[in-house]
Amino acid sequence: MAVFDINKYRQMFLEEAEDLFETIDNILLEAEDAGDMDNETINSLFRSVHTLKGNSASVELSMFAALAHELEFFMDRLRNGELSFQDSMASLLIDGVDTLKHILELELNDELEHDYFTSTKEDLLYKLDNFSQDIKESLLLDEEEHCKNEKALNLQDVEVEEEPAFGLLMPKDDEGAYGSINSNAIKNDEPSTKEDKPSTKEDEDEGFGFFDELELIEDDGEWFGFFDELELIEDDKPSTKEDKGFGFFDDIETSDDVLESDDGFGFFDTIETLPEKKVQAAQTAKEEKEVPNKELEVKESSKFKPESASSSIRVDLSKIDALMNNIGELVIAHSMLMQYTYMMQDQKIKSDLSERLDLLDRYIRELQESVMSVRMIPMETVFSKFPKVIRDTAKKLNKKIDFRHYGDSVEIDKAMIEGLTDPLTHIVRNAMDHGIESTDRRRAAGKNETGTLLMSAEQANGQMIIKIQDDGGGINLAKVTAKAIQNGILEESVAVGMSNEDKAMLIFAPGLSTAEAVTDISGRGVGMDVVMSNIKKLGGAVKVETEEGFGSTFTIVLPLTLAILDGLNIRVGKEHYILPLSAIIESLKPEEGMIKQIGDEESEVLMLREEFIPVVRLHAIFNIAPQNHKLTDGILIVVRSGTKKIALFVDEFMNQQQFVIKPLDRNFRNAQGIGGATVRGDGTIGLIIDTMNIMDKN
Amino acid sequence: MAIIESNQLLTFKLGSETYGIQISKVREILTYPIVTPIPDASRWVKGVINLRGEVAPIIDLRVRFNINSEPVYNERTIVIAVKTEDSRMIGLVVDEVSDMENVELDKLYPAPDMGTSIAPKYLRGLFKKEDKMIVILDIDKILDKEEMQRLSRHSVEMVA
Repeated sequence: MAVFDINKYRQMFLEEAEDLFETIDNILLEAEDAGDMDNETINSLFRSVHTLKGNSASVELSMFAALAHELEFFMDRLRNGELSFQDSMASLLIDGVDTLKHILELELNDELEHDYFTSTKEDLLYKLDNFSQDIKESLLLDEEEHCKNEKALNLQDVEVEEEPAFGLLMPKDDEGAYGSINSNAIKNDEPSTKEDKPSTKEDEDEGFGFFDELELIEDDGEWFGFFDELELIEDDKPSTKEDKGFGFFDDIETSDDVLESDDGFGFFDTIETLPEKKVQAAQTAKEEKEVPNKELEVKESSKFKPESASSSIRVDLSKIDALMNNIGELVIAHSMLMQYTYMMQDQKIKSDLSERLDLLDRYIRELQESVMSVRMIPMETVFSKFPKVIRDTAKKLNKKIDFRHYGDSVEIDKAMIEGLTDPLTHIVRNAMDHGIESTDRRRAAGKNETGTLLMSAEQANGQMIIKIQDDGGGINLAKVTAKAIQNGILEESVAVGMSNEDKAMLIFAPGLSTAEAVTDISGRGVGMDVVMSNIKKLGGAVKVETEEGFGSTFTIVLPLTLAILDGLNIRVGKEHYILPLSAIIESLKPEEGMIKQIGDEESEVLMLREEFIPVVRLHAIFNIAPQNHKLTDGILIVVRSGTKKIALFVDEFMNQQQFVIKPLDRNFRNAQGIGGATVRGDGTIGLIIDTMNIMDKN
Repeated sequence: MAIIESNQLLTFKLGSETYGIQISKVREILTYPIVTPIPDASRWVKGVINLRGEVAPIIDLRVRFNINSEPVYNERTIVIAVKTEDSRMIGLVVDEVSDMENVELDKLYPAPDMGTSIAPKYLRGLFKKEDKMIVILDIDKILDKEEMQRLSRHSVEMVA
């Protein structure tokens, strides 16, 4: 036990903190929008901050914990009804939480200067205090003088009574933080309206500070399950009995034990130096407060339980990946067996075996689906990151933006989210900075002052489709084209013949920005380039539609999963390839009249019903000798290529099969049309055609 | 432990000369398997194979270094599977695998600056054993990602 790796626990804490911050942000943003907060929300807000504080202290992030404590304290007063919610409060709290995040980052990197921290904290405290003051003033108006006087008297009593207990419990390094609570608490008592309230309030506050403290001690003693509330509750059961449901945090005995046995751990220095008698003194103090605390504490304990009763567990993604890999091997082994049956002579055994193999196939698919479903998480997780980004950016830009999202419940592969968040953020920022106009210009254009940003997700045709739509000014195509020519990305002669759609796609070219000034939000011309490359990495495509004056729509098309696909074996000449089933629309044997040519013989199009679909000869792209030269002798497979359709010319298509996608070293190939590889039933490698990028090759 | 560089070499033949790579890089030695060609790849990239579930590219060192421009592939052709520093599995086609040699890596002769079809940057040095010369290849340099990309592009331009 001598070596204690705090970083391991910090990692756990960080993961949890990320979730908590998100919850907090969303609650606050909602409150900001609604201009109100009900008790339940305030409670959950308080709980989140409280958990943050407790856990951060246990991983030795003392400054973060101290700051979190201030916020928690403020929220506690909100919760108790001492302060009533005001519009501007949400904004203050959002700033506070941002500060908290910043401090966390700095403290984790060991870059936090004490002076900086102190000034940040004071700044925050000042703002929080201002609120108390404001409210005090407003309340003063309704309040009678004598009431106040009496309270002041009460207060003095309280002060005398409380301070020793507090002082004793106070960890040395946190002195500033806790000291300020004292003063805060006292200050905030003044405005209360009922005569007897101040002392009770003070008690409650005291009680809170108190059990927080103990919780810390306890957490520190817990080597395992720092973050496991269940364990905490279990540990505390005996003492809960003793205390007659007094709540599970005031477990003085336990903490005493911990203190004794943990001496020399050096885990939480202040505890070590805390003499036992101080705890005893604290206990005495606690007992005094027992009556008023009781009700509150009981309520508290019942509130904490539901959170811990959650039936979900946190699993490392790599474990799920490993599981997925194993299933992949199973799929391969299965297809090997299938292959084997084709060579069997005895028809009876062959059909019996095939039947059982089909059963096995079904089970494997079910297994695979359930593992896939573990990896799938609702789009809500992606969307929920944005309200905060949008609010902050809108504030910075001084624009009004209404953000709406649809398709929260659409599920997406967890592995894809990481690659998706960045591009989405870039698009959103871009839409806000360049797309949506300033309020003045919007008014002048006769639009609603508030710009709208829509984000939607849907699953269609075995693909994931994400749309980001703004009602801003659209892309100035002439400007983009001019800039592209100026930067040498585009030849002037080419530009003339370009469709508007193609021109709009120019924004994805690296280094291209039409923004006059580089801001910290966008304008460097890097963002959209990142969007394109990230989405391509995920095997997807981006399209942009824009209408000047009316806004732009970005459409991102992604495959549903990255791991396993249903594919169709096709043959070109002597080579075999795999075509993802999800990309295939239809296949046909063309007739003479359906093939048209535009210009030379190389540019063939398939006239299919009401559409003209460009024909791509796979053998030409892949440089292989074909079996058939005439299109009418082979087969055309109409596939989706991003948002377009193309017809692939192949010699034959064979069976349909499941394939496990394996990464293919990208450094060795020039061929654009290959998206990945898979192991076939006979142990050889099959190449998977990437219909998205095959046109680039052309 | 990893700091001590293995000084055991696996030596093999490309054409008539003997070459060596550090044994610590070698994962497996196999006979020439069924290779799936990658369309439009460089001449020296023979394709990909299934190496214990991993998709590994196969590079013919003979073609890569212009030692033999019309190589034969038969049941005696050998593939040495190596793992690069960045954990990529790659198969190298050689004419034959010779032996294991103990070499003191700090006592190598430097490769001459010119007159070699293998650029000096790919070489760790030369080693003299009796009257034989063993050319020690720097496999990580040869299989470097950027180097590969650069060469792939280059070969396409040459064709075009």
